[in-house]
Amino acid sequence: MAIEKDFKQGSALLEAIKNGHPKTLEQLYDENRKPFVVWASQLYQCDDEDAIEIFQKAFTIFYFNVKNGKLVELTSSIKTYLFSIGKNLFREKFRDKHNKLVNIDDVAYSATVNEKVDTNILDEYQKDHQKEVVRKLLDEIGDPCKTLLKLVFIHNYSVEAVVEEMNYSDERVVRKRKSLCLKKMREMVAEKKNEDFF
Amino acid sequence: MTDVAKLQLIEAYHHGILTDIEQKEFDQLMLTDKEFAAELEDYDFLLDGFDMLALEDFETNIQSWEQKHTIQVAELADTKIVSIGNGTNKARKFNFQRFIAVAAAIVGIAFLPLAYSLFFSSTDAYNELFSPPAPIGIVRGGENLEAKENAKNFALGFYLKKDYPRAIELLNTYIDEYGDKEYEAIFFLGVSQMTTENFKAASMSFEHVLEGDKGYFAQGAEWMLALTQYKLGNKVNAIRYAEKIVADPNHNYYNAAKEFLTLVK
Repeated sequence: MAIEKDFKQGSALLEAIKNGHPKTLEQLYDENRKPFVVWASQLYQCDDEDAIEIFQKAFTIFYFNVKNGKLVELTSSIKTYLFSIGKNLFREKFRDKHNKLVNIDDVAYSATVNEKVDTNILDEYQKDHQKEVVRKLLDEIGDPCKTLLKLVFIHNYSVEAVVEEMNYSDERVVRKRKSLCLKKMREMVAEKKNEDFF
Repeated sequence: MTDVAKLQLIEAYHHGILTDIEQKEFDQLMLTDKEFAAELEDYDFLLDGFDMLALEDFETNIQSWEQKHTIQVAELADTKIVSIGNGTNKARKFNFQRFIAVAAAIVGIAFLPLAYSLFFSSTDAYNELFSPPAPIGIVRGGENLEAKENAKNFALGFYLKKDYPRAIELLNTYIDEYGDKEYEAIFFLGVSQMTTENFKAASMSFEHVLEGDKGYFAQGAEWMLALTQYKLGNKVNAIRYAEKIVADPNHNYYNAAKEFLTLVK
């Protein structure tokens, strides 16, 4: 059965995605990949490699919109949502390719496109730098903060799931520990700033 | 305001999902709490870094899911290609053909038949042998037909038109309505799921048919299970189903299964 049928309500499916269920995401990826590639190949006359690349971008945008709470309710199927993002990504791709101006309405849907996947080189460089700093800080801070922050911010575990995974007594403890760990990281950032680390 | 509450506010701001009430609280803090702006800047920096690490992690997941598709295609192609690489099957097939063409030109035209037979002996067993069977006995537009029969025919009409996603939707509705002993509908649901490459679901459909049906659809289900198991990478299971078919010379899919075993063994 299609995964959207398994989850009777779309919001339950979005909740599962938000809580970082890898199997749910994998099944959604598998179910939508082929239809997307067929659709894109026919509509945009592109080869499979380009279609897969755009599908992966669209799927990433979809996931981050759910993860970050920007997409909390579905008014259409996930397939339609992915195809809409894909359509805009293709338009952007062609705009870049042909250096043509496009109608602003054509990219209006791009409001759903998370800025984290922008391809601006300087922006990317800055974000790469931030990524490496945080990676280093995580190594320095050590456990249990490292595990807790990774579960929450990277693997997108819900607070309930962290309680179970790390054997905390309740959700309040998780929220408190998370706040303390981030505070500690912030102090480390301040120290690094003083050391001209940045 | 507690540190936990303040952090929640900063996270919501970072993701651009502040509610109206939170926005007011946020604005108030910016005006009244001198430390807040500095906190915001630092946490924003950290959250950006975490977002990038999450993106990196997610991209790794995507690559592993994608590799699964690539491996399935490569296994089915059953060619002498060792590396999976980044290209699609289409691209690899093209390069392989071109390689053979160039090789044949070098060694001389006399070796062309040999190169040709080498290439085409590496046949894609699934693509070679899978073909959606036609439903039997669809009666169109019969006013005298029961609603149930009309619903099934309507769904199978989309199957015949090769609109498999629509067929899947309607067959699922039909099965929900008329029960899980509708083996014909479940069988064609499975075939439709194969065409849309949902092999896990297809496998479940055919297993269900095999559990209940003993006739035409059970034989079809056995054959389709051999193919779906092969596509899912369960070669042993695939061979087991095909051998079961070959053990019965009167089986509807006897010849196909025999050919399948020759190709995959």
